[in-house]
Amino acid sequence: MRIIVCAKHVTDSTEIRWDDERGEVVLRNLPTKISDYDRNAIEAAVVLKEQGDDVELEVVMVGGEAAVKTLKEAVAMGADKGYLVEGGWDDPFDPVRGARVLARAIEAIDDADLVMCGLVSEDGYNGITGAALAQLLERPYLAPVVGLEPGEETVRATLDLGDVLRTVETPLPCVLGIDSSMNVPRLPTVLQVMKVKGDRVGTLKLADLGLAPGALGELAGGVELAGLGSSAVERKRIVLEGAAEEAAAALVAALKEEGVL
Amino acid sequence: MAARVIVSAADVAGLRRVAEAARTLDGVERVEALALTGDDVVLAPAAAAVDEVATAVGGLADVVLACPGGGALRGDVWAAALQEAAAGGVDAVFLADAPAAREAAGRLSIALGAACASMCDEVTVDGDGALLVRRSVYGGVAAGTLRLGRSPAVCLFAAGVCEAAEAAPAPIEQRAAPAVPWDVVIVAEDTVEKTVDLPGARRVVSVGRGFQKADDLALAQPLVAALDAELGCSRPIAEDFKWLPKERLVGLTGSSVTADLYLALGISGQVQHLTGIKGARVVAAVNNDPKAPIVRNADYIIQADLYKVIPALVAALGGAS
Amino acid sequence: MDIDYAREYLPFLSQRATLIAMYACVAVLIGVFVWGVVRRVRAYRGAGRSLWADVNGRVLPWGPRLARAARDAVAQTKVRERRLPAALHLPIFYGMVLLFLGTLVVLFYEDVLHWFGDFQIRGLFYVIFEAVLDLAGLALLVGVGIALWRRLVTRPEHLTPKASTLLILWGLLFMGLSGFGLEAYRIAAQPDEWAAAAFVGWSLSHLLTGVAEPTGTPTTVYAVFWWLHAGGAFALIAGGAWTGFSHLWVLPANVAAHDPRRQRTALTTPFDLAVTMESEEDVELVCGVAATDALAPAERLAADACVACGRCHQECPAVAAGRSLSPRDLMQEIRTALGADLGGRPADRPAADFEDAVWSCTNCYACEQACPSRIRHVDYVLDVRRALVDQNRLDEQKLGVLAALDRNQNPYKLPSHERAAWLADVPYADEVLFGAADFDEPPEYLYWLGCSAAYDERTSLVARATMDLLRAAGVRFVTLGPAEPCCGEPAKRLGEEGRFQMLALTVIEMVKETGARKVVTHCPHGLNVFLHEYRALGFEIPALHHTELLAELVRDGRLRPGVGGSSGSEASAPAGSSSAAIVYHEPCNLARAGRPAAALELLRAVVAAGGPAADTVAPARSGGLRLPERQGVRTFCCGGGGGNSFYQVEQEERRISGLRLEELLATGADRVVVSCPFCLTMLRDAAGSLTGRDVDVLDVAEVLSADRPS
Repeated sequence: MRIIVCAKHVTDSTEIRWDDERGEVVLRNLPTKISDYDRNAIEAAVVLKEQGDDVELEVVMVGGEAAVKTLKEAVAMGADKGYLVEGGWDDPFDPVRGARVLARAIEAIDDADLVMCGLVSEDGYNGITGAALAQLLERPYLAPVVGLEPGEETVRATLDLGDVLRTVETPLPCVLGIDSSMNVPRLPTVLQVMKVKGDRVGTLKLADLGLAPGALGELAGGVELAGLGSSAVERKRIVLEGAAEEAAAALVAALKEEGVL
Repeated sequence: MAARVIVSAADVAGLRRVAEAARTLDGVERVEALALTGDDVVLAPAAAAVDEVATAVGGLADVVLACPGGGALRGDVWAAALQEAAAGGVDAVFLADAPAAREAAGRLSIALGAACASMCDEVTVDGDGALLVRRSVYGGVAAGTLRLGRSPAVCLFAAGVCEAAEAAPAPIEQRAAPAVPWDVVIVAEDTVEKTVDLPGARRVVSVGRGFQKADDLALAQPLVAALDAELGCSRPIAEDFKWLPKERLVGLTGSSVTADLYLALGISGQVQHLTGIKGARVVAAVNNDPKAPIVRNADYIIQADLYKVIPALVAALGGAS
Repeated sequence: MDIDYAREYLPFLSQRATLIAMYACVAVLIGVFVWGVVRRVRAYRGAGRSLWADVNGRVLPWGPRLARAARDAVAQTKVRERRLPAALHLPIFYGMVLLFLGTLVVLFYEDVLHWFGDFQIRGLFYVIFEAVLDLAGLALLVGVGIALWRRLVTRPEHLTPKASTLLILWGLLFMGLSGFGLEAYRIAAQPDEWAAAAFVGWSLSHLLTGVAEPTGTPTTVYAVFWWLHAGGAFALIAGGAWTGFSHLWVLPANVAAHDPRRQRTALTTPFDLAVTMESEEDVELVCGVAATDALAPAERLAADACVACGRCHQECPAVAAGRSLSPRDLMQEIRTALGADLGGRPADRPAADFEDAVWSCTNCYACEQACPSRIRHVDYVLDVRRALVDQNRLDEQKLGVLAALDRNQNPYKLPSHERAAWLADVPYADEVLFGAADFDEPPEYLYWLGCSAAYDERTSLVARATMDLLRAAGVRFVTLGPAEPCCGEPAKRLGEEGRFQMLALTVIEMVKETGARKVVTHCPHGLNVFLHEYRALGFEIPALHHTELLAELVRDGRLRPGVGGSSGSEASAPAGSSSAAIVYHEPCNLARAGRPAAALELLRAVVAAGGPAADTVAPARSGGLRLPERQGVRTFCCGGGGGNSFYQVEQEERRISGLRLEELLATGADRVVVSCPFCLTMLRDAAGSLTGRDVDVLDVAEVLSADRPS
């Protein structure tokens, strides 16, 4: 069985902050990493590889040159090989473009029985790419996957639909969106990442994707970031005075005002 | 210019939400609500339910397109139905967020060559007629505005509420069932009963070492019930006293919450604990120590004896409902 | 006085036959002994690595190692640290040494010197010889008696009797008794004027009067007992390589195999990432011990040196808390896996077998401090942790900490841009912040804040108090403030050596850049990393604990307890203490690094400065300073070390912090003084769990700062 996991190189979401003085999101000089949700997808695939007899596992990552280190970390989790789409794309808000790049990359590498994605990405949180990719590849899409049982011709997956756990079966090949609750992804050690040699990390140039230089824009979905503003949750620190009954009534009133009751 | 908008959702409340968003958009001439019907379909399980849909979107949608969707709600079928409904030209498709809606939005965006945005809080139209989407970005660090410079546009709306309108039901138009070239067979289905779900809880009442002894925790129970909340606790309660199981622990070594309301009772607010409540929308605290760190990390603070405040809160909530 | 009696050799026995039989047996049993030694050494050697090299394959200087081994053996240095075990082991050891030497002397006289003339043990020498050996035998019996009594009657929990140990003890008992029996028989049969010198045998001989047979003829009874006695000795010789009795030579060998200069709290550094990254060669880096077969020879030797005395078990906080770890059992399991004892079978135990045990460890080094064999238990814990990290067997909590060190440069999963945000509110921040501060010459000290002070509001007050004191004393220092990264200690102790070294490289660069001549920190964990772990990577700037610097300042008169303006640190003011006395809790990482004195010196100075005017004196002083039962190098852990602050240990009956707080409060003091941010947090948590008693926990710097009246 061949598995390709799509992983995204993102700026660490826990380090991003809003700079009130400058009125902008601080993104520069921040650590970058594999999108957390994609690590769940890689983990799920690595488990299949560990359990299966003849599973070939590759990771395809989109991102700039800095993504090579991130890709090595993804490969160190247990993939056979990783590919970086050169000159890639790092716009968190255009999932359609991401899906189109990935679809071409997957076709360029060699088709896979299972294409696995994180349910959402750590930066854009769109939850669209996997489904769009399935549409481009013309195959079923199962999500949010919390359990997985691949067969010869079909795959059986358990989907967490909130109030219901539904187990479904669909023919291969197909695309899966892995839920973050499915597993706890392993964290490769620094030594394990260092041990990923150059021959396990390849690049895909635009020509490999059948694109002329500078033609990446053709794949754009037409979404652009037009403005940013603060959304900081500064706590209000309102002290409710008075006796217990009084203060309690004031709190209930305030919480109603907030719309949380 | 978004002259024709198709709206759809997995439930009636969601459908009203997106229909209203479409109706109030500048330049919209026609709003069509797509309802998938089927044996046990989530949205419109029977003909009578399609009537319900028509009533719900009365005054908002011009027509309800009733489209057979098969046995269960599926994103691929949904996308195909939307694609057929869009034939003849559509300017925007608005969907309410749900797992199947995400699949439908992703597929439809490709099928229509559309611009796609999700997590939309609010959609407006700019001077050039392009849609502007307001949504939170970078994990809630900032509020962003996205410009969808291509028509049609597919917008996936974040969950929200909207009041019911009193208007005549929209007319219903029957459509043919869409075809999907593969099978997704349901093998099994289990209803989920979660015991403790702190990350998913909408309201959390958390107890700390302000409680003198294990038996006193019972005092918080009526409050937990009145708020329909999940019970959480700080580290000493779970680890030092073991008054509550560790699965109720909120903080660095336990769960992180994303609740609308986090009510901290007798919790001082060590850094380990504060880490776990960053995601809460409103934090209220009851603590009699004005110097406790929780005071600087809460929206509302009652500085008093929790043994007196809790019964008062229960009473106040009882009176309120 | 003329003493003309000589010791008779082999009385009542046919000399020739006995000698031939005896030496034949000795030859065979020495062979058995050598065979056993070879077998043991083979069990240590493993994959052809040197027995005498450290983890990095370096053979360290012999002198200090041999000196310590000799001192430990001859002076019984470690044994003497505990009274009761010393009371039994010293008599057994010295008794056996004397008896063994006595036997050698006899053999030397009779079977060597005999051939060169008429040499005999005679005269005064004979009398003294007999008396000393009797004394030695008596000592042996007393020691063995106590040892058996403990194992069979009092049976303390930490001392699980092993069958082989009991066999040896019964054997020694028999040796002693049979020896005296033979002597008594000889004296009864051939009384002489000076026989009373062998006072035990002489006393016993009265019981045998009439039983003993006539002079000069071989007797069956005597011969049988003589051979049983000799047989026991032979068995001991042979057993010295096949049983726990091998500790006679394995233990000193182990002491000699380890570097006495390596500080107790220093961890191992199996590779240097910076060197490897620069190297052109393809080096296969290995980190951790994936199974007992992968243990280094010195580590196997050390495990074999475990005599299951249980001192570590007695001292270990994990044992006290009911966790799945006993350092004694850990060592015994590894020792059993070596299969070196008679009937033992080598087994390759995977790291996963020790998973619960190693995560239960708080790296407090109480076990190492107590161990008479000088076993470095924490090395095994760390090596197993490293293997578990390499095998991706960490749970979500530990993974989260390691990921946070990468992402946020701190173990709390808090954003790096929120680091030390409180510093902005310190009025003199610009004068001490590196980069903002303007210095004519490089600062003397870099004050290392550490993640706890940077993020935890309570610990930030300790940093504030320390900085106030340093400024009051006119010390020129800088801090890296918000730019400071994690020192890497949690990664190191959780077993992610690579991640630790990546952080270390950053820190080392940053510290060098400040130009500071020394590093000072209030965090013993950070201090340990600066003192030992960075040093292993080439860092050379000296580091010290804030208590050491503050004590130095007090000694030099630059800082006077009782003089100067009170500043900062409101929270350190005693909040409703019912007792004014303070009790000092020594942090493990200071005590066992051999640096426990400074904090006590400071506290004593504060108490002494209190003077008689009780009403003008801050409460901390008037109540005096108390110390808990376990203090100094024998201090008991707060439960926060070895990464334990950042994850839960599932199997646990009591909180370690709670146990310690109980002990501290048993002194009657309600104010607990610490000198470590981890202790501060752990004991505060435990104090918060108390009902009916208001306990204050604060740092030495806060005591010093708050108790300088305005």
